[in-house]
Amino acid sequence: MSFLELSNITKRFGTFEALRGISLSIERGSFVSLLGPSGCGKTTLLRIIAGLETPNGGSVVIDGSDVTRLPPEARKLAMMFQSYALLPHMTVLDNVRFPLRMQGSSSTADQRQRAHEALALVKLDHLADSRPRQLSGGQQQRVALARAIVYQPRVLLLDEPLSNLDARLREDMQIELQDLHHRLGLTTIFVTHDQEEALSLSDRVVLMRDGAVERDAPADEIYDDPGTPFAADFLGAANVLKVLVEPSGVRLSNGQMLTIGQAPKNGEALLILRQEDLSLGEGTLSLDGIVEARVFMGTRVRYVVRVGDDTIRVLTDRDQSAQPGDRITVGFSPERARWAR
Amino acid sequence: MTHLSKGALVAVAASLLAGTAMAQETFVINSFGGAYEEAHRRLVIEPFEQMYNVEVEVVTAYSADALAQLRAQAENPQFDVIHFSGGQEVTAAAEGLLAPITPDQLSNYSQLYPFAVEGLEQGQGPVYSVAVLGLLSDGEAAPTSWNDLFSASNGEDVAIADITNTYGLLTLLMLNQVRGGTLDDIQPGLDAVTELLDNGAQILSSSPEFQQAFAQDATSLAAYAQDYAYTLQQAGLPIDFVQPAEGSPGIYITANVVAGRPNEELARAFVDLSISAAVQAGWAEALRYSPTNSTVELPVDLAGQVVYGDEAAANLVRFDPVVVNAQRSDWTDDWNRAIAQ
Amino acid sequence: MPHSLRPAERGAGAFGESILLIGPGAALLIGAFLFPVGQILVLSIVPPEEGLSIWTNFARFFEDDYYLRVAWRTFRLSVIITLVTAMIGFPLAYVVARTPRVVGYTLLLLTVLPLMTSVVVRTFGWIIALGRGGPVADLLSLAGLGARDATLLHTETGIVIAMVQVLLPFMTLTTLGVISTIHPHLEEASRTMGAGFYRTLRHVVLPLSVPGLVSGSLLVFALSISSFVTPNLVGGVRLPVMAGAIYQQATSTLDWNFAAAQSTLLLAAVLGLLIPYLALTRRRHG
Repeated sequence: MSFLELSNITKRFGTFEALRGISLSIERGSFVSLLGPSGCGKTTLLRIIAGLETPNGGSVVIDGSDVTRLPPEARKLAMMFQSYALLPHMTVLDNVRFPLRMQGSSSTADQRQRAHEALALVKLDHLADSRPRQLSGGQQQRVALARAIVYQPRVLLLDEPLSNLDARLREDMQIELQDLHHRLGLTTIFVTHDQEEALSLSDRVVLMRDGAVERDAPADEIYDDPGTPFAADFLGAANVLKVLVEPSGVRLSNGQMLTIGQAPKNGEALLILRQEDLSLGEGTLSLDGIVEARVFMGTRVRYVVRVGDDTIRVLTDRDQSAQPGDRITVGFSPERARWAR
Repeated sequence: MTHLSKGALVAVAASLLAGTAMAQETFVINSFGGAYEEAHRRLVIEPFEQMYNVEVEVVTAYSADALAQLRAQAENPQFDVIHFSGGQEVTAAAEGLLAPITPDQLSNYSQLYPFAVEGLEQGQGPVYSVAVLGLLSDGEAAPTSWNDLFSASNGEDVAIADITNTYGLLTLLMLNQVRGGTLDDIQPGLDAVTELLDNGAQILSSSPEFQQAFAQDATSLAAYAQDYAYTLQQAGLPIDFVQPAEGSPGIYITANVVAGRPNEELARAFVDLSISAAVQAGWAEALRYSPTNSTVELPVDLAGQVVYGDEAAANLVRFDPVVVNAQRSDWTDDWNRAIAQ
Repeated sequence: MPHSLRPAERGAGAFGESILLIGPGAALLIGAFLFPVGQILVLSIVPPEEGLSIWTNFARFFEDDYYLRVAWRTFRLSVIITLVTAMIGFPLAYVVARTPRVVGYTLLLLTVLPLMTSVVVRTFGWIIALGRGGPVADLLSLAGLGARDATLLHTETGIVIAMVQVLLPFMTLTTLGVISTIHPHLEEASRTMGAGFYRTLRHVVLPLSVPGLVSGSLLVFALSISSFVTPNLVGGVRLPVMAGAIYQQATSTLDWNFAAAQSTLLLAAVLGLLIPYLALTRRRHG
């Protein structure tokens, strides 16, 4: 049995089914992302793990003991909120000390010592005596992080912790989070709607959709092979083409025939092509299309190309150049093609 | 009959009565509002209008207020007949605001008890009814004396009124008299009240509180007004009224003729009607006020509920209103100090 | 400050419009508050006889054991009423803020309902409820807290009970206003950090509700120290409080100057609490 076992969790809010039987096994020390669009149930699932919501069915087992009916304070977890939830009437140090104080396991001096250490870990020890509202958003975030890790929780739950930060700070925090994870080895569950964040931070991505798990795989694997049209679309950067598999090859909507190995059996199928696996010009396989738009992105350029009834996106280097309206050829190698299941 | 012709008739009648050719002015009196004014209209005002063919305008003004208005209008009086219940006629007469009445001007004069007309010499009007203070008993005890308040089997069952209520003031003065005090020295009365309180007696300030106390069985013996005993009986409570052997003080209600009005003769006719046996019997019937007319005959059932008859009338006690009004403020202060816990 | 509007840019009529807007409120304040209060101040320093010090009426108050006892009772009861109101009002406000709307607002409505009935009707209700044989006295005797025939009428406990009911809405509403601004995440965070429900209430919600509790307490204290209908009717004439004594002096014994002096002292007591509070909150909010 894994460190954290979720079995067949269901949750309803009125008539709305937020979770439809979620089962997950999470290993000790792993970093798992719950990814999905808003309303998919990822935050509800996190809150059920934390004990802030009670599931209608199913069980939560941590380290071999069933905690489904335990109140949050008895679970020895830590949760970091999107709003940071720092206590405004306490200093930064007292905020970080708060969980130690509530668990009352050691002397005040020892608690202060450990709170200072946790603050040092996020490089904020010099602001120990400030009030939360005197801090910038990024600093508040790191205080919240220090407070979450100060008492070595069994599981660290992060609810969209980076979504209130600007792009620069977010990148810094991602690095800091990864660094902390490597140093402390805390079992971490991270809720996000940002696929890049999920892919870059976690060992494993659980993609959720409408209260169910759509795809559950290691980050690189899910990226390379999204597996479903939804996953391909949500993880972004992939084109999904509706094709017809015939004995002689694969027929596109513009009538073009391609020869791709490992094609499923005859009939309609969905072909997944990552946009960075495509390039302008002839390849091993080629698609004919018309440029609809060109988006300049600094180091790279994205083209939107119409191929028959489908619109595909192509991410290329800057040196390749075409203008909207140009008839072009898009090339790729067959081993980069994936099929939706 | 049109309004105009009715008005003309009134004018003719008035000119005949007054012996002048002056146009009829409105005939204005005061009354005390509520159930009192209702009975007042039925017993006196409407019959008077019929008999003398005048229209009477009733202004609701309590005694103190009525005196204040009378003073303000000294140069140009607006009332023809004014009623007082708090001894204000003494002041009003002394200030020359009232027109003296001689015995021969009242056809019912000889029927009144002497106490009811003793003010005529000083220029005051006659007393036409008395609201009597006595003992209200729920039947458990059969009190006969004011001293029975002190010997009640359960001191907590005794209630008296606060001094801000006229009945409370009269209770104090009556107890004072029973204990040998005088209006110059009310200490015996205050001591008596203190003794009652030490026995557990309650002081209530308003009539509804007495009703409440009797209804909740919190009181079985109270010093309060006879007319209110009737109200309690109407409410279904088995309350008897007793006039103690030492006599009962009362609230004396007088009808006075205002000086400086053109219709003095008509006003005297109004006063004369007010003291008639028929009207007084009506007051006794309606509000259980004691008649001051010795010829009043009450049915047996009513007679038991009203202080009535030669002997009972002789037992009515009247404290000098001049002294009472002058001392009231000081007595209130003494009372407050005596009763405060 | 290039973005701020200087007066000239607000339009020529702005000054006149401001006067127009502030006019009714100012007229009401001056006519219905400042003027009578000024009159009371003047009355209070008029001595009963010519030639005596302007402090004569005040001296009479402080030299008389009776008035000092009345003042002490008024103050003591107001403190107790304020504390009890806070102890009931805080949890009530919390429940209203944190339960589903329908439940919370029903509770709130029940709390506020007494404000919509006349004080006299409500107080007579209490007279029945607190009197001998009434439900409150019965409950207390059932709980073994008093004789079978007990009555809370004409007791200080009775005054406190009736006043707490009247003033509870003020405490609940001011506290509710503050609690509603406390983000529920703070409590959830506290729970995940190992604080149970009650410790979260104690360490998170309560300290953050202090501004609401303080203004609610000031309001309740000021209202209870100056109330007289309920204390007089429920407490009876033997438990006089200051406002009742003032009322009696003004209406029954007609000693307006002494009544004014007592009113002035009452006003001073309320201001003595209010001004430090206002100064404190002003400093805190810069």
